[in-house]
Amino acid sequence: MRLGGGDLEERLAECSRLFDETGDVARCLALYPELSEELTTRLDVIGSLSAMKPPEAPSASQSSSRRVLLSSLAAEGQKRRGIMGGLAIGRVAGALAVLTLLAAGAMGAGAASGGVNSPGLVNDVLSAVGITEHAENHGSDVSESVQEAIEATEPGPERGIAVSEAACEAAHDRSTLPAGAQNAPGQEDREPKDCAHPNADGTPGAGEGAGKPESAGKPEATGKPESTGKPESAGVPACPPARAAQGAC
Amino acid sequence: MSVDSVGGVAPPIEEEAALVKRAKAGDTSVWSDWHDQCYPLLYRYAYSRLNKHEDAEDVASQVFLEAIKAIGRYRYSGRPILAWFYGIARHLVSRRRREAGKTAPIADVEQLSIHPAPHDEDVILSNILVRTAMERLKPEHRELLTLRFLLDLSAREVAALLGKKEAAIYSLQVRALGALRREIPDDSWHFL
Repeated sequence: MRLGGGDLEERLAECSRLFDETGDVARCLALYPELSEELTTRLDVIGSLSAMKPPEAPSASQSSSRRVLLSSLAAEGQKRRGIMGGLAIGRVAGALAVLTLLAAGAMGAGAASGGVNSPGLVNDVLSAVGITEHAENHGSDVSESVQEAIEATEPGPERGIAVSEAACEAAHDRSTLPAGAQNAPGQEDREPKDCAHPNADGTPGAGEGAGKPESAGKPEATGKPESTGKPESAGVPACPPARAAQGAC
Repeated sequence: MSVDSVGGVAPPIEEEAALVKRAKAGDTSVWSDWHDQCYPLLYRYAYSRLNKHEDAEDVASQVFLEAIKAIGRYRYSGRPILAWFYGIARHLVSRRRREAGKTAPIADVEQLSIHPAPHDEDVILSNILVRTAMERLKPEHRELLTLRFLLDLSAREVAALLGKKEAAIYSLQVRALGALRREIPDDSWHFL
């Protein structure tokens, strides 16, 4: 007997529930005798399904799986601890990397802008990281002095001398150096550098290179130990008279 | 084994939430308990779908390894933890069946020969008929019949596993049995 529609489904569902409760179809058939054939067929299907029940898990399989689980848990725990340790190291390394990048970026930005005002940002970074508490803008003072000398003179040899002197004076002005550099051992009572150009009066050859025009404006060569082999600034004598008087060179 | 008998599967929500928290912290005792309680059912589920002991063993064991990896992302919603394990097992079984393709056995002949029935040939034929018909069912119907009649779970237990109401399970069961019956050829009914 075939019944159709949602009504059948509801009645069969009700029968299933009753069957679960009582373990037989008697109550269901008492309620719905018309479902007899339908129920018999379904019980056959259920019987066939029940005959296919899988076996129980062998205890050896379960024990083996348990061992795998525990070793996997241990490995996972080690991995987690490793990650936490790595994160801590990574944080420190990351902070250092950021700091380095910031400093390098500041210096790069300074270089790209022609050096003007570049030390300001570097100083800020250095101050921020505690390397120096305060640093005057030493580099920008030099460039400003040079700029002023250029603006105050006409093109020609005079400008060269003026620029040279201005650069020398600004570069050796220790008052704009960081406090640490000013108070470094042996620097406290140091005399200011004499930046007077030997040709400032317009006469060539007042310095060590006098009578040797080929050496004028060039780094001092060997045979002049005063120079220590290091190049001096263009137009600046190897040993300025004031220092020569002190026997410093 | 039923879901109710799985001690850690259907405890009060607060209790199970605490267990989940401990499991996330790597508490081996929680994992051991879950394993001991759930492994048998997961093995039997996998066996009923894969018809091979080795595969069932692999899947049941793999469920816990996958769970260990995923527990960090798991959000406890009040459903039994077995439901989560069952979901993983279902996924692993599906993947294994896809990989096996048509080589997946319809029935474990070795198993059938270990447990001979009074009318062996009829039982084997019936088994093959029903399994073949089961494969043609919608996954939802197949899962329901597997859980209800192969694993012997109650409607309430299945409802908990599938996240449905008990009444819905009975309705689904009626439709699933009707669909299975239609998949079995009329001239084969005498084997059932």
